[in-house]
Amino acid sequence: MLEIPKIRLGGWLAGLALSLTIVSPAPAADTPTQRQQIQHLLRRFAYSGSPAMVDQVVALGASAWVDQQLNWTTIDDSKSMLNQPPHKYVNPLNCDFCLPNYYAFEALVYQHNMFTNRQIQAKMELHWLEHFSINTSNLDPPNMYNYDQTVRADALGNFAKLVSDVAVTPAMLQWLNNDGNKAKGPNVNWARELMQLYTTGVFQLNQDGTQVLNNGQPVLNYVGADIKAMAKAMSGYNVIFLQGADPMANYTVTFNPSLQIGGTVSFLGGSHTVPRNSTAIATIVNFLAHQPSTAPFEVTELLKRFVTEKPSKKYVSDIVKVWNANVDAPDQLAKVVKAIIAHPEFNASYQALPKQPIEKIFGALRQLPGKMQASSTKACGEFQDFQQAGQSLEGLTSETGQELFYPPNVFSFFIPGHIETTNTTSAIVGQTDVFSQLLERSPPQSDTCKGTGADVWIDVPTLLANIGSSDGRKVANYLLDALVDGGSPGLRSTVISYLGSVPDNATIQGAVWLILNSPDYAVN
Amino acid sequence: MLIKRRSFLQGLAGAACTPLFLEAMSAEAATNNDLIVVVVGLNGGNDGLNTVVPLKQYGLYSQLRSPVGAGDTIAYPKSQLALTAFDSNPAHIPSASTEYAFAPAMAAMRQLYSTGKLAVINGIGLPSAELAPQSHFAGWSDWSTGQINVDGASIPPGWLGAALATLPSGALGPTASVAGAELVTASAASQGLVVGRPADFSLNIPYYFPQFQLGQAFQRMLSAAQPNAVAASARSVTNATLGAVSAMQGYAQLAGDYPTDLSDLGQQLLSIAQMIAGKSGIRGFVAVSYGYDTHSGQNDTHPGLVEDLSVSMQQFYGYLKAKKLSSNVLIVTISDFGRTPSANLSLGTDHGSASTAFVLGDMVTGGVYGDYPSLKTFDSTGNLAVNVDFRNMLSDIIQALGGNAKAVLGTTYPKLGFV
Repeated sequence: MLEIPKIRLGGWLAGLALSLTIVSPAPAADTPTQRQQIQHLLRRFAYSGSPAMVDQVVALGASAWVDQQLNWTTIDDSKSMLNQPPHKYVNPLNCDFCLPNYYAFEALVYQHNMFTNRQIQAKMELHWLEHFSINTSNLDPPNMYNYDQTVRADALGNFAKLVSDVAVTPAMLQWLNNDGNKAKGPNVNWARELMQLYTTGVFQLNQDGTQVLNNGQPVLNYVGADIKAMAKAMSGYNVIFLQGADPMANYTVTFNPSLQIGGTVSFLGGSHTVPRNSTAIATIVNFLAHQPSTAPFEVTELLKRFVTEKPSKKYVSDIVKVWNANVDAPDQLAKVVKAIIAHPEFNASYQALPKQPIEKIFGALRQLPGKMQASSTKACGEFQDFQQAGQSLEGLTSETGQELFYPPNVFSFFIPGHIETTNTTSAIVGQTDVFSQLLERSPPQSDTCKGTGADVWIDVPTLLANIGSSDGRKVANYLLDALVDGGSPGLRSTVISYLGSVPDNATIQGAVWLILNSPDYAVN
Repeated sequence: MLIKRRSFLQGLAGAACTPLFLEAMSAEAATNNDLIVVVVGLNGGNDGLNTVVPLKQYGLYSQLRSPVGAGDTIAYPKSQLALTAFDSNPAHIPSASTEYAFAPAMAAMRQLYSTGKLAVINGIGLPSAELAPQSHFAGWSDWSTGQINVDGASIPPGWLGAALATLPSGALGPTASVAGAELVTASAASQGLVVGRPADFSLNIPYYFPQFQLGQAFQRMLSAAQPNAVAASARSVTNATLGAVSAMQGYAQLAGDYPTDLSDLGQQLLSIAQMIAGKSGIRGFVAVSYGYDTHSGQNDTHPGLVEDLSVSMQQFYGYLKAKKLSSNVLIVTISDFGRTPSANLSLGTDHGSASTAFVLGDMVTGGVYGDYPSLKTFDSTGNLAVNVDFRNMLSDIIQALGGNAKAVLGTTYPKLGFV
């Protein structure tokens, strides 16, 4: 047996706890400047923005930008895709369940979220995708695409409508086994997760997000009998495959009342009228949306993902009031987002949250001049360019452990309140490689068909032009402002020292890599 | 093109400031004889009833697993179970066994059982079904922490991570997950290493970067005071990553004669085998197999899952045995919960209570532990009654590690006796 000699470089892990005490924390940061507050806003409710975008939002004002974003239908989104309609690439008639179609579907979503001007909507789309956490394995790409479009359309709308609409997408019906469910012997997966994950949560909550206690013990929101009764009332839905001209419309959902037990149904301590038609699920979802635990459960999750992993009771209850006051409003979620951002605790959470891996990657491509190759047919032909670019983005996020449509379980990539679990040694390895690839690919190379090409990259020539100077300190200032709000003293001095007085292009690229892999950049 | 990071690492090592890892070199090292525990997670809630079938209750089993109106069954025919039948005495051959049977696809597990080194623990789960919301989150965190967690806001460390935190381990730290961030291997201070494949655990930096200087700058950056807790945490994980790169590249060269054509679980166990073969000093590992949440069409997936589990465990244990590395390795399975006794009309099973766990290793006294739950009378939630508190099994393992089971689990348990 070959035995590896003891590696004396080891021990960094064992040094983790020590390192926290060996190195004194830096003095508390000053109050964020107005520019830093805008950068904070763009990190949390957008996939970050370039220095030029930050300038624009500073000029516009945060509140006006938020209003503009929340009125998302008025924002021109025509440039958000690299110009190809989805049908051609998400076509089960051409390639049923084959890999290129999955790439194509993911490409559409990744590209849109990167390039769309509707950034708050895109960030909310991410939130809801993580909330519902459907894994695309074994689901047909058109179904996943339509599910994503449903989430996007409702991301800033009404919560009950969002959940109801998602519930009857073929993707969700199939994912949580409600497709073909029969009331006489139902499987209860959908009914359980509808409450546990998507609306009320397991335990009863006070309006400030704390648990209701009975003799010191938490109180369940539901018991097995509730789940079973609701499962029976939500049975009868079937996903039907209709092979037609439009592959995106190949799947439809039917309702068979003979497989459902509706009418007067008892659950959660009362009798409820559940129609014996396809609105049964919407009726139950609407009931759940008005349950007292739903608002604090959903608001806490939103705050933990967007603001702070430890929201105060006051923050939760303040936002819950907005949630409840608008529970039937068509723009309920937009109003909730506006209230979250306007709350004093939003700016107080400056640099208090870790970034998700996907935010690091999309952020790098948006804060620096990220590029994707324009569409043109390739001679080697298996993928169109835009598919390949999307595939690359998907691959890059996969390397860091956050491939959007492949969450590992029903909690998605992390349990809200525990984003730090995405920051693993494996993710760091992936991250260093991802940022190397993004920089290595600039300028574009020609051989895109072999997977080494420049389909998505940080465009260094454009970056240098944007910096507009070869002076080392100016380069440092630009990069640190663009990526880390100016950076901590330790990072600043390191980058300035590394760049020297007149850095060459490779050194500037190295500095970009250094900052992107810095602890500062991991901070949201 | 991308090249390896040798110059970069030289820059790190040559930096003027003291590398942080040197601060940890005084940590007590593990010996080659210290017990290593490998947790295999069956994510989704494994159906114990279709994993180990109680032959003495076969009639009830068949009835429960054949829902009226389905026109089909998920019960295994008795004839199929004959080849994988077993008794409490591992020496009994299948044809002489009348007590239990592994799922027909678990022939490899049956072979492991016959070695006398596999413990089958029946009726295991949370002691009070009422306490368990039967959610994946609660179930997985309970089995990962060894505590019944009713409040998801304050999750304790993993039982394996917590037990090993106070015990000797190698320079890379006490635990590693090959399945992404997993709670069971996390301690209060650290998530532990997360490794995909050792071969992939490397740094690629564009060749034309001034790498030595970049390495120096990186070291300087990581040595600086961090502006906030989030950055400090990120720095810690980055340090851990850099500290493990060279070792992982070495481990990746090992176990070249491990079986090929591996499943995902098999690949994870190969990665663990490489780290064990490399004497990494890591004493707690976790691998996870997904897909056990079988609400519908269970017989389309579950037989394949338990076959994969059986084959992967046999490959792993067989490799360690052949290399004389098995004497101090213990493999244990955990899952969220068991599943309902009755099948539903989707021909699946829903979240339940008691299930079955396996413990495998040279030091294991093979056989059956725990009474099989009755298929006639159920607990107050209508599920299989729990006869063995899951923490009892964990307690035995923690004690075998030399850990303080009471400190980790909050109380003491009588020994089950499998180790």
